Amino acid sequence: MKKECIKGENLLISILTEKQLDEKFSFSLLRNLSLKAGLTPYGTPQIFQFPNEQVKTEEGISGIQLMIESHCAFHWWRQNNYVNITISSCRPISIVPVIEFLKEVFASNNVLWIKTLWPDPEIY
Amino acid sequence: MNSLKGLSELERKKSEGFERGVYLCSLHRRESWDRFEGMLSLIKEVSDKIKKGFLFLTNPNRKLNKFFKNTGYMKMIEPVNYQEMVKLLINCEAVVTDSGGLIEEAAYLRKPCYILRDYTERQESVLMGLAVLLGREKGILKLSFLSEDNHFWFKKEVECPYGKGDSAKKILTILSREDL
Repeated sequence: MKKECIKGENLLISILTEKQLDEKFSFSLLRNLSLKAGLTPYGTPQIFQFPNEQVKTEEGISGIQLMIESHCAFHWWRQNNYVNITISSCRPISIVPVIEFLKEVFASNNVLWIKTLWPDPEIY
Repeated sequence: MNSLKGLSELERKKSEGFERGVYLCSLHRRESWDRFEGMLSLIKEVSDKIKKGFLFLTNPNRKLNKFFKNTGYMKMIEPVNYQEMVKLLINCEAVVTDSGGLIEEAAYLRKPCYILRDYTERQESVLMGLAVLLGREKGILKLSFLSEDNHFWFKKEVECPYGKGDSAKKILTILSREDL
């Protein structure tokens, strides 16, 4: 028999944008993203610019913010004008404020999202 | 917090002409000792870039004194008493530290605080947007962009999570209750 289990959500977001990201924007994005999602940022966002001394890859920025409820992360590919964002939480995510916020800060209407539940209802 | 409240009210009135707008820096934690040279060199890189004064309270440990040198925008002073420390805190622009207590004092006085550790026991400050953790290595360089636009990340409006400096008064009120 299945026991009661925590119900979490993952929000996956794709954005096409002309916006040129930098460290300052990325820091602010991660802090505010978790707050807009109704979640609790924990600690300081970590930002990584690529390529760098350790990782030789195409130009971009990655960032992650730990949250009490899990984490949010993004990667921006400069040459593709593309941003991918993941928000993972063990509590429901406030989707509308997140999407509105992203449309505004990225000055883009090309913001697509999909929500998945965890654990998958098929499994648990 | 009680003594800080009293002293800060007093010193705010007396501190005209005191060195203003500097980054007040205190590095003393034993776990940082073997990295002092590298940390100071990274801070120098930041101070040269943002062209702001960094005022260091030197460590009383003689072995470490050799690392503290007045150079560029970095200035070193001898450790000060608490009253002088409060004056420095009131007049500084931000605090850079590996200390613990200073994080609380910075929060009370609404000064952005940059913590040069990977972890802090004062998570309240980090969670509430009053402090950021930079670590003890290259993360220190992030201070350059984090200080932009008057420390854009800093949430000046939030309440100090370490109290209002009125605990002595509260204790006295409770102790003077007749039913105790």
